[in-house]
Amino acid sequence: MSLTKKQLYFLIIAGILLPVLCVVHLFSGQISIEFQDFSNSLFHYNNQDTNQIIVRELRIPRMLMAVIAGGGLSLAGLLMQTLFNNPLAGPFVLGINSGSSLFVAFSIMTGIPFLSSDFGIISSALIGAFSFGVLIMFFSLFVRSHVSLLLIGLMLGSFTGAIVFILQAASSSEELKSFTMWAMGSLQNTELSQLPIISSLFILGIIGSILLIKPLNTLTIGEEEAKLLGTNYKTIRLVIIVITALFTGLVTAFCGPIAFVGLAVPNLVRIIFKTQNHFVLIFASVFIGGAFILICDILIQILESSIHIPINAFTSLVGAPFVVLIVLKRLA
Amino acid sequence: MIEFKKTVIGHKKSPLISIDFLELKAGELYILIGKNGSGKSTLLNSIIGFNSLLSGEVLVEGKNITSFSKSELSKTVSFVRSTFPQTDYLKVDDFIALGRSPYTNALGRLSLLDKDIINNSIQTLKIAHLKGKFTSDLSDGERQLVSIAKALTQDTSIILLDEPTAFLDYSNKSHLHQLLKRIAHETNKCIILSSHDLDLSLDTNCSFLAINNSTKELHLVEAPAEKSALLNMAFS
Amino acid sequence: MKRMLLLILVLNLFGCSPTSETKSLPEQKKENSTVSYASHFDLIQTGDDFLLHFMSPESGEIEHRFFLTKTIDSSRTGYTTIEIPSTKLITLSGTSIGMLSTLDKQQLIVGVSNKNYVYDPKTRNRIENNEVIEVGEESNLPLEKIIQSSPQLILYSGFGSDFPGSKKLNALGIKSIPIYDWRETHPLGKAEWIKLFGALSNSYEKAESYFNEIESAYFELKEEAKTLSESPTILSGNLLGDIWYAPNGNSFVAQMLEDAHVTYKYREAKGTGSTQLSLEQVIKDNTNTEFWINPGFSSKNAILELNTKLKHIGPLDKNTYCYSHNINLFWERSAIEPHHVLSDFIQIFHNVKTSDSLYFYKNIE
Repeated sequence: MSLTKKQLYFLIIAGILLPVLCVVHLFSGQISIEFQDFSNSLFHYNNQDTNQIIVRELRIPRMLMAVIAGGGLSLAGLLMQTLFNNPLAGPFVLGINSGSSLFVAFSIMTGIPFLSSDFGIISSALIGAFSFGVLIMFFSLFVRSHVSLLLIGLMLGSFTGAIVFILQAASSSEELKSFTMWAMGSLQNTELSQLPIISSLFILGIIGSILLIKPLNTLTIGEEEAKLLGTNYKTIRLVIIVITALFTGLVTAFCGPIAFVGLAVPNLVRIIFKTQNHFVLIFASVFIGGAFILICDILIQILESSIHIPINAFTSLVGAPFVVLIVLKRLA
Repeated sequence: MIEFKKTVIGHKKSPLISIDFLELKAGELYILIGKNGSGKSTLLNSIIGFNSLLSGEVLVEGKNITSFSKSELSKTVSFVRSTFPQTDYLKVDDFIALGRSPYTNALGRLSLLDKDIINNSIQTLKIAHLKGKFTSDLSDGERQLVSIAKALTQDTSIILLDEPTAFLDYSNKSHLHQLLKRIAHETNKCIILSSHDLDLSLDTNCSFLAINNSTKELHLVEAPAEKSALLNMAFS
Repeated sequence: MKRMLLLILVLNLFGCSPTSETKSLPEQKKENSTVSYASHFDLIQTGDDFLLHFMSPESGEIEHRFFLTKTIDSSRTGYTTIEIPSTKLITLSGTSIGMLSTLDKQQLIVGVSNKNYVYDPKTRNRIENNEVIEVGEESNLPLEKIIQSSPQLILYSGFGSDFPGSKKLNALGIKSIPIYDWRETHPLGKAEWIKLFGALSNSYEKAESYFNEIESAYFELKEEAKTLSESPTILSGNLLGDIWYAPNGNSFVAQMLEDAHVTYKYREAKGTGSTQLSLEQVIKDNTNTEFWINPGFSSKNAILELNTKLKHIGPLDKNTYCYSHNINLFWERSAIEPHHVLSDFIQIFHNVKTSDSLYFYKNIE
């Protein structure tokens, strides 16, 4: 597929915007940090200096998670939207997020220590995402219409939501608090030491998506057409679901649920770049998705002194009106 | 090019068309006619392997259709379907370029040869003026032309078309039929198109594949075909 | 006439309060009020009977009026009558169990919320023997089960409003009274609620005498603390999700820390609730803080499991103290033993032996 000069420039701009926002994010906390603190924390780390501790242990992980969450969920959303030929698809809307939430709810509220530890929650989120990915894929076999599939996804979400309510009613206030906190989403729950593996999985998912560029491009004109062009639909569909579950599970595991990014950003990317060329869409989704979450988190930090807004709430605040706009635009 | 041997085509135990033995040659345009519901689309789908045969074989270039890999198949048979995808933000050139997918690398990069073939198809169908547009902005007739261009780009020895002229006006329909006949001759392809319009098809002066309304057999009627005979066979 | 004299005498004896330097001394509500420190209830003696007022913690307005009387069929306009002494109570508040057991009247209890949160051994026993029922949370009480056990009173915590079903129970003669002790911010204000329990259980004198004892003990300790020269810095509060909640300067905890003569890190924060802070801010502010109190967990591992970044809180390694190793004990008894909490604080922070061992707190490992 084609790549115009204009698209290339925008892509480069987005690619530059991301690291710029990363730096802005690092310096936008309530405590003022010097550039010295930043460079020292990386190269001459003094673990007694509070400022350096804050930069290295708190801000850097938070910034990296913002990028990974934003980029990962946006890319997952893009893959879902292409697979199902539906711009309103997304890990959240198709219930994959609900799968993670349900399994994490079980982990926390069964009170079994292993399951409610960090490792337990992460595994549950990943397993939950994957199971529900397979479930929605199963439904997609029987359901032709996109609207029907979305409805099924929403119903899956409601169903798991109901189960979670029941679990909540039966759990102690400690467990309830724990789950509620988890559901608000947080970019601050990862350790620097966990970042290498998280980043590796993230990059793995991106590489996997890049290898799918051609099949994804053929999928833009539909399942049947893609098959006619030689695409091995069943295999590609499976790989897409695995990559999507990987991103969704990874982000949900370490950050809790973060709404709307997966739905809104790929649409925004298509509107800006006006193309279905997945070479552009994949990179743009990662850049703009990362930028989006960084901007949200920068705003959250600026507002911190007056009001604390959890990240999940913020993305919904911004994302929901945007999705309404998209729907209206499509109907026009 | 295409051989049918004791083939029965249909859906799940309800047979629609039977073919005892039939051979379709390269370099020919065949027009498939039959009553509504007689199985024209099913036949085309069966040739490409989307529909399972109830019995018998279909051989393409001597090889059983079921033994083709997906990749080989996409380089051998292309299919212009009657529905057009509803994709946003898809440029006409990108859509046509997708026809080269069976030949490009994992990133879908187009070589100079690929680009040449794409341009050729666009020239042949005289749709250069549509190049910068989005497919969602095309008229129904334009969409059909663009679909055919994609099929040409796919450079297959067999092209199947399901009612490709439904939305074109008469002169364009006629022009398209002539064009396809010429392409079949010049590039030695075997092209099968299903059509509703008997008069128009007759003007094309090519061979017909007619589904016998009473026996449900597929008959080859070589050019020049006679109108009343065809009417009797397929529509009475 | 004689009765009048007796009344005046009694009121004189019990009506005055010692002057205190602690903040927020509430105004006398009525001349005959027996309550000095608590702001959310008032108890006025009238002979053998009592007038009981409850004030809304939000507005301060009197929202409930009860007439506690020993005389059957006695009433008073504008007041709901409650016969005393009570014989059967259901209590949804843990501190009530603590106060009743101090008066040795816990056998009046016929229902509690959840047996897992009860400390008092006698009550636990009675629950095992099915003499006390469990009724769960205030928001969802099993009305039929309650009616079956025929209590006279339900003592509820009042998280904002009447609990669902209270009207129905009232119509059947089961009255409900709010126990707002948890909303009191003055250290002695909470303890003073024991007088209410004294009035209900025909042990008012005992309640009053006990309160006076702890009041003196409290002030003694406070004076002692003042003489200590050092004033170490203290951090209180914990992390919930991404937010750190630190008690404000006028809150219960902050006032006690003040009375213990220590420097509480966030005492400048106004109000009686808590202040929200970012973890960054807390780490930055507390590198040199000497103690962390009330971290919410009883082991270092549990704290780190919540959020590994808490390892950067200054005092975590050596001087963190919590009551969570026996949560039920703390919640049930700390309200009625503020002098013991103060004693613990002085002992921990100033390293002065005010008692043989700490009553509530423990150094976490």
